Amino acid sequence: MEIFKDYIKNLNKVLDEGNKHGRRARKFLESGHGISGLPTSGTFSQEKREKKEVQLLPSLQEFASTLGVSVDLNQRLGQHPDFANLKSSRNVEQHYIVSMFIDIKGSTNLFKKYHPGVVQEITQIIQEVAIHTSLVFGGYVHRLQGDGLFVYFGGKKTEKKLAVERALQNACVFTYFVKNDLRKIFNEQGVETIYTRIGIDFGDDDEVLWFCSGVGEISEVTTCSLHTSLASKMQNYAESNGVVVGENIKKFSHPKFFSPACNRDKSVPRYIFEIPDENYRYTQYDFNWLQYLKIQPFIATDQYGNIVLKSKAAIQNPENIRSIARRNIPYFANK
Amino acid sequence: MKTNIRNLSEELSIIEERFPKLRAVFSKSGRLEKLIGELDICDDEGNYWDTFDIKIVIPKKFPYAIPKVFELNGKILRDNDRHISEDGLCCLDIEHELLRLASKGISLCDFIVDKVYTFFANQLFFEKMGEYANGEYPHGFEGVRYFYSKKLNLTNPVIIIRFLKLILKNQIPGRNDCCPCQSGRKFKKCHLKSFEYLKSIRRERLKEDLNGFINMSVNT
Ligand SMILES: [Zn+2]
Repeated sequence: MEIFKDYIKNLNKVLDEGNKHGRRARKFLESGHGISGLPTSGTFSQEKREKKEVQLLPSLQEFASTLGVSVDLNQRLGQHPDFANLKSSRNVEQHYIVSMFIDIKGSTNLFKKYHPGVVQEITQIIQEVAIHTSLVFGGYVHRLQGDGLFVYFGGKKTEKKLAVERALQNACVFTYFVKNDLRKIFNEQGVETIYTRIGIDFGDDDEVLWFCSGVGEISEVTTCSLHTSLASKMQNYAESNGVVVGENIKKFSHPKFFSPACNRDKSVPRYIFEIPDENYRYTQYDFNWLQYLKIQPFIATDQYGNIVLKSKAAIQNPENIRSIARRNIPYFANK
Repeated sequence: MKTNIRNLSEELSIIEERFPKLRAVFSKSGRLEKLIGELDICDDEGNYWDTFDIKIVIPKKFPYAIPKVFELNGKILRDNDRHISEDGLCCLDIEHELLRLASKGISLCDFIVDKVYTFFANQLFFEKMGEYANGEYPHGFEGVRYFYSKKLNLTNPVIIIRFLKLILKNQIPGRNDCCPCQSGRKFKKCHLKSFEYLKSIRRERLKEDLNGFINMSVNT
């Protein structure tokens, strides 16, 4: 998608460089020259690593402006700004939250072709896309896990429904990036592609406890909630480039975007959690993220249903629309 | 009647994939009444152009009758030259073409792609260029004349009147007979296709055309 153009450019530079050096290029590392000219990606040289910036690349920044969101780039892991007051305290607080686990899989295959330094740069850029996209949709990145992330959506100033919507938007935009943009790049390089799996759930005010876990500085402000645990668990049931959500999420959205995950695969349990004695059963759903993406106000579809970004900067050259337009000869009957 | 259209629920699921912002509205009895919502227009190069709020009203006799398409928020100037009425009814094509489609049974999805999408794309083209991409029919009966000449290769009103009378009386020449246009060629090598085209159109429309051409030859 257009919004990731600049990240894709960087990724292609890294891959080109990686192809030149091959898998065992030791001198690459020793020379410490890394890959020059990449504004956000890490390189092997210590000096550049320190300069690593948090800024969004222009194409994504422009998208954020179209959405009218200001992105909080000063976030710190393990310290949700709305609950920062709990840091180093013994207090607990009840407040709803949307928990989202984004897993990025398949980077192992990259080692077959690239030097570890290149693999690190590639996964770095993909993780950067995941982080930046989450920020654009108002997410709070709570923790990094391997190549993936654990992100919260919502907080004290956000309506529950909006928090869920933002989480779903984030899931579909990022998954679209991985499934389409990344696949295209890796296919061109003849590398097995990377894929993502996402789990999301919503815990209401009476279901989520915020507290400070750990000791002293070795601590983070985090949640104790069934639904945070379930989000992580459901991620494991997602298919490649799939998103699985709990039924609490479905309640805030249109049911047509959700189908029980067991419908896809009989080996996937219908209920991700149950207490049979209390007759409590909690269903996990596959989220039809592509269809959801298509109805977003920032997305248009062409006549075949392909995703197109509604960009203000879109080039409108009449020659490009002539072939569609010329199939119409309008008439007015004067009746 | 012979038809190869998909069943409606299949059609609707394809429409949902391709035009996801159009929503189907059903009557209490479960009949599809209209599609309403947004239609995005993008070009072949994947550039976004614009979005129209539209309503497609499905007639009771669908698929053998023509849906009506309305532009709802006045984005297109209400002007005859824009082929749109005061209340936003869009003149997608000359009635003959639409009637012919309806005679075979209309696929709703194809209708949107071929008639609705192209209409709005052409409107956007007009806004940039001040003309339509493939010309336009003259207004009123002149448009009908233009259609007969362009599509059916019939320009002489006397011959057109003869043709229409034959069709309305159901007198169709044999394939190897001389063409009624008096070109001297065999029917099958001359105006057979035009005849077949006209035959597929509703008789009321042909009678209207006949009167039009008669009036025209009287007045000139
Ligand atoms: Zn002839």
